[in-house]
Amino acid sequence: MQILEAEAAAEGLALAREHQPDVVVLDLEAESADAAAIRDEFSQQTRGRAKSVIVLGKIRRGPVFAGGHVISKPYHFAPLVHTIEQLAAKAA
Amino acid sequence: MATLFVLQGRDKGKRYDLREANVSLGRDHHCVVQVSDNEISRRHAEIRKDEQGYRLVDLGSSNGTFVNAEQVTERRLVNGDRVQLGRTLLLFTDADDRAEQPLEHGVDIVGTAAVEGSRIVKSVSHEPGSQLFAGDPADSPWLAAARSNLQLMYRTALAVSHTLDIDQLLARIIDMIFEWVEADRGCIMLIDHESNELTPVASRSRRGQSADQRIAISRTILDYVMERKEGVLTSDAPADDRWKSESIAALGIREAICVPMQGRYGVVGVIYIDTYTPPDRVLLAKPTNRFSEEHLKLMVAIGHQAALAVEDTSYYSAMLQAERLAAIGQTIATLSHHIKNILQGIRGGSYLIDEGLKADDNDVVRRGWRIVERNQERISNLVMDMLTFSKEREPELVAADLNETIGDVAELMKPRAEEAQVTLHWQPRTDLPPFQFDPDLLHRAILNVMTNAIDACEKREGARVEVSVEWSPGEQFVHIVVADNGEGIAEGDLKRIFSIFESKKGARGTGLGLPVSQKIMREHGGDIRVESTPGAGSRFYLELPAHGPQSIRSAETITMPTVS
Repeated sequence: MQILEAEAAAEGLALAREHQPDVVVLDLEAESADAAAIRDEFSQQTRGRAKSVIVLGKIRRGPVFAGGHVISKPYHFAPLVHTIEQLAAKAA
Repeated sequence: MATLFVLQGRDKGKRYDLREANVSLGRDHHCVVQVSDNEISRRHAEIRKDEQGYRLVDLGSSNGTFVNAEQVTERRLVNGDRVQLGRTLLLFTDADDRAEQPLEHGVDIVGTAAVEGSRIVKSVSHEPGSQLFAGDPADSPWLAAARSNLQLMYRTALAVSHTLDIDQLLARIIDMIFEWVEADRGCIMLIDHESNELTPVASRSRRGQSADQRIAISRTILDYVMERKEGVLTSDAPADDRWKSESIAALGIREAICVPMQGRYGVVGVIYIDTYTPPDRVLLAKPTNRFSEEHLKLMVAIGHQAALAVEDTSYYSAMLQAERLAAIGQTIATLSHHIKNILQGIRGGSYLIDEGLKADDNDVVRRGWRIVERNQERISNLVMDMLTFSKEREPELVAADLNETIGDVAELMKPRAEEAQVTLHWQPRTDLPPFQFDPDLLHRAILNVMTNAIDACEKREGARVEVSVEWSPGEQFVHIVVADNGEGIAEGDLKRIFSIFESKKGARGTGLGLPVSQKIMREHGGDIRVESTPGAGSRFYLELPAHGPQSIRSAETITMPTVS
């Protein structure tokens, strides 16, 4: 599994556009910017594969982000890792 | 039983209880309610009682009978109706609606007879009362003296009281009134905001008076005072000379003053005082009224000032309360946020340890453990900052070595600096004498500033933090200087960095670091100054008195509005 890291949402979005990942894990609380907008952008980016965006933190499911996974904080890592592996396997 | 109360007209202040089935009103002296008004007929109207209540019937008067400004020939009267005959305005109250209210301060608001026959002698509105301070050359020496002392007394009372408690404030005010005005009894009533009813809050009897005698205040007088916003002076001595009348001799004379407490925003309550002249004193000599117009003027002014004071306390304390709640709320929210993040970190480390143990991979275990340790450190710092911040603590001053304290912090910061790829340089000075400070507290103050400095220039090209001491013998302060070449601080933010919980570091900062450092330095009699160039870096000067604490500035943890 190849893992790409970004420290900020903008950076992450650029990476996502370039590499078209199978799974995106998005920590919304680390961003001070508009969480909903970022989430929507990422959903659009993984168009058709909205279910492969995992959002960490609190979020309201908006019209664009209908599917996808939300894991509230604080979370345990084992379930998160498991979910990532599952989603990656599905996309493959 | 119903009552008629004369609000306007020559008989103003008179009260008539409607005992009989038919009560006649008119100029004629045979009338039950004799009204001396040229514009009313001899037998002008009648109030008839039946099983449903009371009916007002006009008896063919020349100028008509009006109820609530509407001309009527016949009308059923309800509580609060205003009846106008000629130039006389009467208020009809139906006592059944207004049951006696026994109240804890021994004050009864009554609809009927207990305050029989009191008439309003004089009424004064707020305006002249507040002009009291301007003074009137015609004022008696007594009033002039009272006037000149009134403001002083209020300021003193409020300043000395230190109290935001309305009850205490009003008790003081009533004491002041008793000092200035020779009243026998008094009480202050405030409008209760929930029930909208006047409720006695403070009351007092002059020593020697029968303390068990309840103060009965006519509701009609209260209503009058509240609505018209006028102070009234009432007396139950008749206008004409009937001193020898039996009832007067039996009851004595009661004079009362009732004034509104009119503040900036409205009427907050009333002040009531009365005097009682017992029958024997009445008979001995024709007593002059113990309450005069000057007393009334003074009381109106007192009522105004008291209202301002009450407004100040209740609004101020409400404001303080709201601010405290808001501050507490924000504190809890911010702290939970930080603790949650730290917990997340610990979970991350724990997961690695778990996986490492499962896979028998010590490297993974070690990585996990380091993460857990780092978060332990974070929680420890958070708790220490919280404790330092919340305590009003006198630093325990000892003669200590500044080099050693700074050196300890630098040593502690080395791993963090390395991780952030920042060069940390600490230059000790060899010529420093011992200084007076609390080593633990100063350690924390320097630690927080240094942490900030490292974070500011983290991962920047050539990142560097310099720590040094500036001092020369004879100078008042010794400065610990922490300079970084990081991102700098904007001019507008320079003050805000010392307010609690405003952190620019996102998830990492607690927002407590710099405020805590400032608090510690101020508790030592020093301070923190900062110079900064956005984009180039910042310099923090921790200022410590070189010769022990001279002026200990109190460190205020929450900025409070000042009481005017």
